[in-house]
Amino acid sequence: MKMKTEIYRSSIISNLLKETSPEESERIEKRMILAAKIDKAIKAKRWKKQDLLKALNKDNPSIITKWLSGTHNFTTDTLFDLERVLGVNLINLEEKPQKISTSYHFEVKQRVLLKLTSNDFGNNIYANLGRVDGLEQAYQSSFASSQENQLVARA
Amino acid sequence: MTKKDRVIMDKKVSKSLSFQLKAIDLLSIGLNPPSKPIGPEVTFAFNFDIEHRLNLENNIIVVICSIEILEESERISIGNLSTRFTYELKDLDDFIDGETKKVSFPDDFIFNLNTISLSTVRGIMYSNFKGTFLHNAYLPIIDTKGLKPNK
Repeated sequence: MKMKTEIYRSSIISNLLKETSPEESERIEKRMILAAKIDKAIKAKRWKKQDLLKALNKDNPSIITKWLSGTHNFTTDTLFDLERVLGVNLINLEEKPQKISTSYHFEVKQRVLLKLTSNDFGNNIYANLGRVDGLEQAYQSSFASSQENQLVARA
Repeated sequence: MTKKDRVIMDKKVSKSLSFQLKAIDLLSIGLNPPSKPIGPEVTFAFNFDIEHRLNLENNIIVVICSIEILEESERISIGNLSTRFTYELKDLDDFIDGETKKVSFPDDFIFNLNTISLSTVRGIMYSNFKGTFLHNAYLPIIDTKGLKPNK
């Protein structure tokens, strides 16, 4: 039996979305990114919530759930503490230069024979160019016809 | 090498690394015309520097290629070019040692990274030096497998 998917449309949700300004949306997105970054750092350290609480000298486990929900408005001090214990950068205060991991240095040589240089042409810049018979004939005939014209004029 | 070591090595080699080129930036370019015109027979020397920079937070590896072009007989710099390639890596965490936090990539990946960067630099050089006295100074084919990192 095939189940038909029903699309649920709620006017409440669409009204809520309409009420959210672009600035608020951006803020929510950044909070989500921050929460994801913290969560990733906890997992990278293979810590549990209790380990983080211990490192921060806190005792309320619900605070971490709140931090990771992506809705919490962190104070800078909390973020600095999290940076310290998790060993990650959450607030970018300065542009840290990227560390060079590997570098190479080498020299290669390439001998190049240039096909034509100005020296190849000598004094006559057209000397090395191929002669085009058609062009030469056309030039001669044009010269001849101009002579003819002159003769006509004289007559 | 024990059998166990061999198994560990095989596992390391079989790790797959997906990466993509995110950006190419021309950082600098310069021409320094020689006092004498370049003769019909010339040997160009290319002084090459490649730097790999890691940005672990953003899963990015930046490769900076800087080239200085010299005329072999005079040993004078006649041109230079520097480019930056930004590659994004997936699953970078797989190549980070949990304890030492050191990153070790497979040799094949480094080979690919250098080959792609060098080939692209060749094209960038050609398009930028086209029509200048460095028109014929195209980068020779380089076997990047033979490259050894600086210590």
